[in-house]
Amino acid sequence: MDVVRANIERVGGSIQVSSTPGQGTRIMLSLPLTLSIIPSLTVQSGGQLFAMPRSYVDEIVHGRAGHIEFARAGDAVLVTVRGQRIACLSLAAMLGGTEKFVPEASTLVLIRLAGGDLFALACDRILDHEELVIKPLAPAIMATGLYAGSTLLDDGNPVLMLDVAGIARKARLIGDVQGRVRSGGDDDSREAERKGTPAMLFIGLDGRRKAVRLSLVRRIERIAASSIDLGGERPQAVIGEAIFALAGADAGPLPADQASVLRLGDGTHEIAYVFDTIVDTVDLPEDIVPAPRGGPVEGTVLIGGEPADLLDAHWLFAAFASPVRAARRPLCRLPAGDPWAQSILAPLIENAGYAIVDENFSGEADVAIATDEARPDTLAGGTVITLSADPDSAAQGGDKLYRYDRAGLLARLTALRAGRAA
Amino acid sequence: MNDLVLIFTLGGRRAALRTTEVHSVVELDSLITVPQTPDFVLGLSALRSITLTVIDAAAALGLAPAVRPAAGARAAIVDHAGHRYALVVDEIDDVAEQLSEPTAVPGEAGPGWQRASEGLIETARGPALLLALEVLLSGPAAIAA
Repeated sequence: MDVVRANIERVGGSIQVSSTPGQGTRIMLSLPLTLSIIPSLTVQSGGQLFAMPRSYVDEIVHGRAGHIEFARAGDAVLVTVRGQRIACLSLAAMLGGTEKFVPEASTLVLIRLAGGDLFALACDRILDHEELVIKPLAPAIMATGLYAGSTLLDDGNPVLMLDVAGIARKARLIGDVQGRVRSGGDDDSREAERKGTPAMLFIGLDGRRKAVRLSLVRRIERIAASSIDLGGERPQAVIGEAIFALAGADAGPLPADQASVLRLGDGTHEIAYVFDTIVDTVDLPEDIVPAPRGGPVEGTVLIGGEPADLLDAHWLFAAFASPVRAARRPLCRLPAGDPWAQSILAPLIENAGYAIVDENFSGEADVAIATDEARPDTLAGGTVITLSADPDSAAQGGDKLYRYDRAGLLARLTALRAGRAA
Repeated sequence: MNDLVLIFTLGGRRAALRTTEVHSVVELDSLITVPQTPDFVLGLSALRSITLTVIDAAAALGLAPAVRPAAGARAAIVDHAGHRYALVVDEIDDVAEQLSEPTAVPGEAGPGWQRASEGLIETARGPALLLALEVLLSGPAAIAA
C-alpha cells in the first residue's frame, strides 16, 4: 500500500482509503492530469499567478455583470447565475489571503466538477489561456490538497496548477466520494418524501388493493347497502339527501347491510366509490406502471412492496360524473296508527332510501304500505304493498308479502325505485 | 572512509549532507510562494527548466522560524523521491572528507537535530552532524511525530 501511495503521489495523485467495519472499504485513487500537456487558464489572485485546468471551467463572468447577483449567508458568499444559486469562493481567501473579499470586483470562474457540482471561484483577473506541461509537486506541497502540479511559464517562472476539486473539498463544497454518495442518497429519499403525493390505499369490493389520490377524497361514508341502487342504467347511491353516481360497484358483490363509500370530488362534481375496507394513507411512489388501456385504473403502483391499482380519476369522472342531484326521495306512506309499521318497518323503509309519510300527507306517495291491521285510506297514486302477519296468506301470491320477508320487501322497494328512475 | 560531505551551517551549528545526495549548489533567483503550505516550504523556484521546491532547512528541523531568503542566497540542490529540492541553509561552507562513521551524540543534540541526524561525524572542517535527507524534507511535523 505504501509503495502504491508513494508512486501515486509522485505523479501528483492521491489515494484515500475509508473503511467501515462490516460494510466494506472504499479506495479512491485520484490521478490529476499531470505529466501531460493540458489546456489551462492562468489567473491572478493576490498578486500571484495560478493555473487551472480549462476542462473544469464552465463559464467566466465578471462580478459586475448585470445578470448575476450576490447574496451572503453568514460568512459564505453565494452567487446567482441565470437562476442557479451556487457557492462563490474567493481563491485568495482559500489560499490564506487576508484581504477583504469583494466579489463584485472579482472575475468569477464557474467550475463544474466531475460530479456535476458547480461553484464559482473568484480571482482577480484572467490572464491567459495556454497549453501547459504539468509536473508533479513535492509531497509537502501536495499535502495541502490545493495544487495538482506545477509548470514553468515562458519567463521561466514556476506557476502552480490548482486542484479545483481539492479546493472545493477544502471549502466543504463536496465531501469525499463516499460522503457525496451517501448524502446524495439521503437527498433523493427526502426528495421523494417531499414530492410524494398522498393517496388512500383501500381494498375494493373485488378484494384488490386500490389507491386513489387523497386530494380527491372528500369524505368517507357508511351507508345502508339498500340505498345503493344498481338497477338503473348507471349505479347510484343515496348518501344523505343526494344521489351520487356510484363507481366500484361492478367489481364485486355488495356487502349485506352497510357499505363504505368514498366521496370523490373534482371540485364541481362528486361521485361515490364503493369499497370494502380502508388500508392506510400512503405516499404514491414516483413510478406508475401505466395500464395497457384506458379505464378505471390509471396504472399499477408498488405500495409497501405490493401492487395496487391507482384509480384513474379522469376516467372515473368522465364516466360517472354528473351534477349531484338533490334527491327527491321517493315517498312511502305508512299507516300512522300502526305501531308495528311506525317502529319496526319505518327504519327499514328509510334505509332503503324512502321518506316516510303518513295518511295526513296530502301529496302523492310513490308507494304505500298496507298492513293487515290498517290499510291507508288514500290509495290514490303509487303502488301498494300489503304486508301480512300471516306467512300463509302472503304465500298465496298477489302483492301481499309476509311482513318479515325482508329480502322480498327490499327487492320490491328497490325495483320500484329503479323503475321510477329509469 | 573517503566519502565526501557538504558542510554547511544551520541554526549556527555545523551540519553535513553526503555529497552523493547533493546535486549542486546554486544561487536562487526567483521564488514563487506556495500559499497554505507548511512554513518550512518556502515556495517554488526554477533551475534549468526544472521546478525546485525550496525548503528552509532550519525551519524543517524546527530550529528557527522560516525566513524568506534574500535574492541570490545559496542553496543546496538535492534530489529525493523523484523531486528536486533546494535547501536553504545559513551558509554553505565547503566539501570535506568524512573521516569517521556517524556516532551517536553524547548526551542529546536537541529534539530537531536528534531526529534528523544520523549521528556525529568527524570531518577535516571539524565535527558535524550528518543529516538524513528524508527526515529533513518531511518537515518539523514529521520530526515531532
